[in-house]
Amino acid sequence: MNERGILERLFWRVGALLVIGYALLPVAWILALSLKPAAALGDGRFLPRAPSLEHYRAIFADAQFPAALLNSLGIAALATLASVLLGMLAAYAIVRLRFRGRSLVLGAALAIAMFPPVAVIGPLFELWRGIGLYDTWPGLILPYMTFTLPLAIWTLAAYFREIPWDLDQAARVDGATPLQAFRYVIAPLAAPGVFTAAILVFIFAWNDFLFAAALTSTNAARTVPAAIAFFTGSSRFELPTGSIAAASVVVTVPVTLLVLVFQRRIVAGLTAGAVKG
Amino acid sequence: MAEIVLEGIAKRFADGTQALQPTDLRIRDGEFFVLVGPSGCGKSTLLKIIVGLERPSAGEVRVAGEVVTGKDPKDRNMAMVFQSYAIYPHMTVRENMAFPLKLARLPATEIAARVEEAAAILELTELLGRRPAALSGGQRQRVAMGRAIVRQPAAFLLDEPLSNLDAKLRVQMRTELGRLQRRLGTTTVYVTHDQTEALTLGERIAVLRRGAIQQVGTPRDLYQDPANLFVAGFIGAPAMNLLPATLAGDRLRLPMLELALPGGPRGGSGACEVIAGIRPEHFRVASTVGEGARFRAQVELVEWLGADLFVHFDVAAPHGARLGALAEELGLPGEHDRRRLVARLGSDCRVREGEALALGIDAAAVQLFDPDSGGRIELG
Repeated sequence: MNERGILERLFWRVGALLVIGYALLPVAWILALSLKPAAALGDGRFLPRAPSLEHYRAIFADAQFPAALLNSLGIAALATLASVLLGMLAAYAIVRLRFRGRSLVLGAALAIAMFPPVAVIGPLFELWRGIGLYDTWPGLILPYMTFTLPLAIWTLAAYFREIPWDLDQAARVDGATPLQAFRYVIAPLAAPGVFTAAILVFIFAWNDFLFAAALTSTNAARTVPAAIAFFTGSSRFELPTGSIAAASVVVTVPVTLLVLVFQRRIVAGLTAGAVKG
Repeated sequence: MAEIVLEGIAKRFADGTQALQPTDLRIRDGEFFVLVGPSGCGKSTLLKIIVGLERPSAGEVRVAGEVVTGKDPKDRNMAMVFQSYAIYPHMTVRENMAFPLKLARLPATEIAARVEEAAAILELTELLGRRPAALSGGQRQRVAMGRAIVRQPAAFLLDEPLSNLDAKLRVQMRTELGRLQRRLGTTTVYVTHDQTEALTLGERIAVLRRGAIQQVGTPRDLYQDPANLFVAGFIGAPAMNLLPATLAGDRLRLPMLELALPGGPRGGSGACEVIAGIRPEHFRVASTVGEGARFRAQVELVEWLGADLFVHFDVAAPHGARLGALAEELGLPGEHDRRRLVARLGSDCRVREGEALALGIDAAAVQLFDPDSGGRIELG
């Protein structure tokens, strides 16, 4: 029995290490590449012999990358804010109000989420050019919001459903307007759901390449994933491998930080003890 | 503090169910008023209409003379305690109690003073910094009460506030609630399905059944003078014994014996079917009754409670459809051709299960009901 226990533990340890290695090896490789001097990029070694920050310096020296980083942050943040805010109100209404076509709204939201974005790119490009949204922040925020709203609504509706209706009613009797009841009682209790939805929306907007590549053309609205594709080497015969690696590391950091910081809030069961326990 | 008047209040839900028949009710200023009835009788709906969480389909609610029917709950200055307590889990006890005052935009010093005062009354001072998750059921119940009393509202509305507590705590909190209400003197409407709570707490009680008020009165009225079969069967524990019987003149023929009713013969001629109600305490061990009206009961079950002795026995009595339906609704024991009766006897009676016992009935205390309408038949 003892031997079996040791074997079992060994199995889980090795298994976990394998999975972590599989997931993180590309990240480590990119990190290593980004630290290698340009001359050593093709040396076939995993670890850089003489780590240097020259690629990082290079991408930030070019006006393109800092502008793209700002675009990415701004667009993703605004899309997240809009999507989560709208999603909260919609989800709350769907959960609490009995109106005709309630399930139709949820179904339609899901249908939108299933819709392949590629199919709308062409028409959207023409439309945006026509009404002047091409290569602007709103031109990207709108599609990001649209495609992530269903996800936000579904996630948040699940959380709101867990909150006892008595709490809304208690707040209303305590003298709160419907909006105050939502703001002071329901929204704080749905916080884990709000953070979950926010992170998912943010990651979608942050990682998107398709819309960004098709609907932008200059530094005015081009986001990092699209900008990286337009990186050029110092000469036309040189691949900008080092710069791409450095830029990839830089864009990975904010998302990783975001998830780490809010991990606890997502997991925290705030509703514990709401009703009798 | 205020008088609450309901006039012609009715509620029909969107799906067509009639939750409340048109109802008139006057709850006096400072009164402890109880709405009691089995689940689904419309008592919670009535409470929610008073507080404004439900809109009535018809009728008018007046509080202190002012019509509030169309008012939002936040503008009614009423406090409600929910069955689930509904205390806000993300706020401390102090924040929970301060919440209604903050919404009313009271100055911070006033809020602090009122919360401290309410906490002192409810013995919550030590717990003010805690969150609800760290409180016991009884403590949460007190926090919910605290959040209600800090507002000094026009009325307290309590929706089954004790039903989530264990039996011992329930009795203790029941006493505390009654004392608190008398101390504050605030009009209180209390909803419960438990007739014991209703009898011990209520100054006046309204018994509801299927959305209609059956009777309004003091606990004594309801117990001694039930208006109909339903109230008779619902109020009292153990429940009143209900039996089919025949009334001819002043003779009441019960399945197990015939009684001479006091007050002489009734007006109507000929025999008529009635339902007789006998409270458990109106049975006597036969030797103490001088007259011959007695019957032998085969004792099925004996419950000895120290001061009282409850003796259960069966009587062969096919009951009509009405009695059967009522027995089912109230959860009264008995099969289709037998009625299980309960007698409350002095604890000095040394009868055992399986033995036979001679019992008499206090004829003056027997109540008669119409088998068709269920209404009370008043005797001469």
